[in-house]
Amino acid sequence: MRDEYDLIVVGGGPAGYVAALRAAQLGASVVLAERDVLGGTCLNRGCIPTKSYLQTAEAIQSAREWASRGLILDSPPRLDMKKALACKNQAVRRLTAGVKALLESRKVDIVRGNAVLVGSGRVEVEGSGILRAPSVILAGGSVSTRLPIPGADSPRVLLSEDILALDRVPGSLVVIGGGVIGVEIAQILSAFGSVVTIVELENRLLPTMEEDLSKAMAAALKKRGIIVHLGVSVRSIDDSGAGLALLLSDGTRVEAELALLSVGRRPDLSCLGDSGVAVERGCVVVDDFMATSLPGVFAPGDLNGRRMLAHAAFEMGEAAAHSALGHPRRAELDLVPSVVYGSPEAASVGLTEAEARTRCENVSIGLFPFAANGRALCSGDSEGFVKVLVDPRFGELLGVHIVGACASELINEAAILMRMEVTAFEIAEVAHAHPTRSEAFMEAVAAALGRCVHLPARG
Amino acid sequence: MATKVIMPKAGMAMEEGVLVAWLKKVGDPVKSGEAIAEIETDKAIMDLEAELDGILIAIVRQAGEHVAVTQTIAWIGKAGESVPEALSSAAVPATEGSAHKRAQSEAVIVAPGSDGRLAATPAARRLASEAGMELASIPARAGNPINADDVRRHVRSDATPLASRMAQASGLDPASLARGDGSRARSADAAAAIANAAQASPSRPTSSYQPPTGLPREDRRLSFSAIQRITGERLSRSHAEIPSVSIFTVADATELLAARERINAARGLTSNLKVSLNDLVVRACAKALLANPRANAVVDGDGLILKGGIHIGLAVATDAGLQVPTLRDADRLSLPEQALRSKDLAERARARRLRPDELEGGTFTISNIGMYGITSFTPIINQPQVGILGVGAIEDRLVLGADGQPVQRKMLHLSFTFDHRAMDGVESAAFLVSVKGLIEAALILVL
Amino acid sequence: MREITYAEAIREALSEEMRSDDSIVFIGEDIGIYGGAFGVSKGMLAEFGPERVRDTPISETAIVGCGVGAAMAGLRPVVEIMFSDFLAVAMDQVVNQAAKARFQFGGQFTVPLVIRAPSGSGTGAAEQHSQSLEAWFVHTPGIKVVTPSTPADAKGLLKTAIRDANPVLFLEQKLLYRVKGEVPEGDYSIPFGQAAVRREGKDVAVVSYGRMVGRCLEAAALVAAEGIETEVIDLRTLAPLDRDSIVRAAKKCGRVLVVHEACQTGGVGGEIVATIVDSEAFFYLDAPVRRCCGQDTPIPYNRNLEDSVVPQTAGIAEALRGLCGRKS
Repeated sequence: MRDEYDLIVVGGGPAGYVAALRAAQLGASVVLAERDVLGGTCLNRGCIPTKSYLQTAEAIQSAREWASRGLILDSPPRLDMKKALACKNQAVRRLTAGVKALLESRKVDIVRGNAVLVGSGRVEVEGSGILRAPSVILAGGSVSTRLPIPGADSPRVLLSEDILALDRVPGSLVVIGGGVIGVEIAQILSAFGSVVTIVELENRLLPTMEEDLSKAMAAALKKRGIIVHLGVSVRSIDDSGAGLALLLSDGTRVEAELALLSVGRRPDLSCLGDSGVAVERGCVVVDDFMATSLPGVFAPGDLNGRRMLAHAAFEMGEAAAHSALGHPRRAELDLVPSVVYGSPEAASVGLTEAEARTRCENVSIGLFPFAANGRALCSGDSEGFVKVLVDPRFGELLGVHIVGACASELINEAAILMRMEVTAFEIAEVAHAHPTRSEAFMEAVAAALGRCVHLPARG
Repeated sequence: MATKVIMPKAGMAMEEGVLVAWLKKVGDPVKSGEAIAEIETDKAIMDLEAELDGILIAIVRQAGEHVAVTQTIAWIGKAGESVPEALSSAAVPATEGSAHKRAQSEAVIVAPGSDGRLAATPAARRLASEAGMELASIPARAGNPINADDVRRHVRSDATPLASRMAQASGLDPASLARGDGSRARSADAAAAIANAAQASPSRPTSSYQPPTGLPREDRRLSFSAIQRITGERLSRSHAEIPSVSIFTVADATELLAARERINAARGLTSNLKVSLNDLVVRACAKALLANPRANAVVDGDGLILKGGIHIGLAVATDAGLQVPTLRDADRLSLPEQALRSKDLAERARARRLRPDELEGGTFTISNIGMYGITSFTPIINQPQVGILGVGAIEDRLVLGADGQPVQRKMLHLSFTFDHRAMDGVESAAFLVSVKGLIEAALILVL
Repeated sequence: MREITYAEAIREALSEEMRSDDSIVFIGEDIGIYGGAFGVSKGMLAEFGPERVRDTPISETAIVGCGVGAAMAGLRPVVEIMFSDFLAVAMDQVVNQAAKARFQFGGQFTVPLVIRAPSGSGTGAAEQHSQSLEAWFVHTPGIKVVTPSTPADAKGLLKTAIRDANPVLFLEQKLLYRVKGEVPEGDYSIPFGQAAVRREGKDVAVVSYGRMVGRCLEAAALVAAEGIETEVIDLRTLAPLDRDSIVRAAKKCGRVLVVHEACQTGGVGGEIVATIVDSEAFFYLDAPVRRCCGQDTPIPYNRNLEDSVVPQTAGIAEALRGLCGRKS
């Protein structure tokens, strides 16, 4: 511990710990303040725990298909939720310990306690006094949003972090909010045996994503027995002591043991204190270099509300570290992919079709269904498709949207090619290994150019 | 002392050849008479044979290059021997009367890097330095120093594919987008450059035309093959120099076609080779030429040489361009012999395996595109010949028979294009009428 | 504009100057009654009389020496040497007297002398009547060297030569005498040391002068059909030499061909190449600077051989293609 550092980082989540590591790599002396466990929402309460459960959910689902593949199971699989929880917690522990080890290996000092900016270059950490450094990176992250619905304060109405800590499977669950988090948790608990109902205010699931993905996702969830209510809000929640009764805006009554409130997240501004850092609509205002209104203060990650995604936070954290040390670097966020995990998965990068149509006069659309992909057919999961949007003038790839198994992996190829500005003309000529799901991407690109050989000729 | 291997002059008209492929590598032993490379003349592909035993110690010109005849393309020597430096210019004799060759004295350019140093032109060095590029990172064309175009090409690849396409579509050179810091130009740079260019020339009308959805269709440049270039030059010269006139007629080929069917039916018993209609037309032409010697002639300065032999050039379309192999002494061949030779010539022309002498010495040419349904056309005279017969399609027509009743006849379209300096209208008509008469007489042709 | 021949343009320039300046006298072999070996001075004896148009004996030393003396004494003599090859006979007068006098006597005298001499091959006149010797005189400070390539230039440059206070060697191009071209009527002059761009191009520059300019233009037209855009620079005068124009063209095109009829070794072409590589144009060169010049041999009598030792249009075109990387 010293009094004076090159850089103070507040928050040990994806934006904070990456910023600290990068700054240390660049030769700076860095101190990182974290009030809870390193790793932030992603590792402790978000991405990673859900991925552990999704793996379990997938195993249950695939076990159901074993019979059709000739694998005889004497009795259907049962879930031991306590073990599932322990397995998840172990993965989380290993990763958070890994983050700690990384920080230590780079000689980043870690301070425990609530940290608040008290002025340019000064951060007060509860119990440790004032830290000083020419630059401060605030990576305070976000918290789940609560809605002022009558009865929402019931202990049966949970937030995502609460539900991931349950050691039992509820008999039924209402998911309020059909965004990324709602859809993922709905899939997990449905597979675990809960009767799940999703209530979404917009008239489609995943409202920020490509509309076709929403439709495909809704259809896939319904197939798995999840009840979906679209275009409705929750009027009130009534806790009878034994369960919940929700009244929806269209008059429908939904009963469930528990409810999940997953209507979004908002920046956690508690680390700002009275420093006067400019805030707009609940988000810290930053430029592309992650600089706030206060000289020497940077705010990557959820705190600025630009893209509330762990991998966007990585990019912003790196940019902030460079900028804070005097090598300004822009955070490139326009080609950050968005992914919804589960089965199926949904993944997008770039513009949606609606956005593309406002930007370009002509948009060529290439659609390739996994039902026409050899690998997908063999795997037994040929749900979904790849949809690509191409500007026919120069073959620019405007957006790629995938729904189906492995979408989260496939989207990265698209993101790389778009970042490198490789056009459809080149992509359509790159040989892809056969049989792979990745072929579907290349075929969709070829289809956008009207050259796909594995689709029937269009009228 | 190492001996040079030169691009041979394989025909009177040959001025250059294309090195199609090297069959030997540097360091390979070669024997006198052994094929070491394939070369393409304007007329055929042929093997280039070594003239002495030794080792191929250097290859000066690479496959794909066009090389003037007598230029050095490689060196043969003893093991361990090296290529002589450069020949002193005084030792190069003036060749071919008027051509003045010394400006390009034959220096053997040492491939960049072979002595551990980089060969680059001053302009290339300046451009690379301005762009902050390492010369060593710039690929040169084999055996050449790095030049300005190499650098520009390399800079060009420093725009992303999208930026390059955007620039090209607006008529900008993608190289002009270069950021100067060695990083790739991106679409935003292209968009800015396009906006700049538009601003710089506000008077240029901006087209409101938007291409329909689908692919941009780009222009493609096809290089003429050696054959196409030579043919093109000759056609242009002929077209410009000869006051040509074309006359047309139709011949009743009903009998001839019937005769051909009978011949082929009969021959079918002993041979697979069919006599084609073209064979019979060539035959008619050969006999007509015998009777009309002015049509079987070549222009010679201020006179005409009536040629002794009747050697008919047969125009054959090949992938690489038009080829005209010569059917020698066409008038003296039996019909089966003629059919066999014509077929052989045409097949080898398509395979580009004709010998140079098989493409020379024609005294008259026949071009037939009737099989494509073309009724009449006026081909260009193959200089120094004075005439060319254009054979068109056969049409079914109703004509009045001897009894005054309409009968269906098969009519063959013919054109004769001739050099008016060599023949007048009456003489040309006499020739074409002979051809027509022979075709209509049919059976004479079989003899 | 009216067209007259190169020979007529020279006669017109000389006659116009003689009409306006009585101090000009014209001296040479067979220039009077015979009208000049190439007919340049036909009719001049009749107009200007034997005082001013003087036939001389066959002694080049005497002819030039007489001119040098007359010039120092205040006249503006124009002397004609029937073939420039014969300047060799008068070398002392040209090099040691005409070119030096002004310097030797500290500027007390000037030598406003013009030596007209037909130069070049192409007439089948063999080794002693066909040479291009300009390099000797370019290598002699104190004398200016002019090589007009067109009738209009011949007239304008001769007027400048006559009005110059220093000795000028005016090398007429034998083969151009009968070539016609547009020539303005009346008085005009063309300053020395200003090259003319005869054709604009961007791929390769050819620098030439005198009779070869025409061939360079023909070659440029030939290769233009193949997509090579050639810039043709006509130097017009070799001393003074318009180095700026040479450097500018070399910078513009990056590839340069130098063409002259005179034999290559020790020729003016070497100086032109040196001018380029000795300037900022060096950094713009994208190919070796090449020369297409006469062979280092006496001019043969046989016409075919004579053609083979001086640059021809086809050879120049070939060299242009070679410079542009077009294999032929």
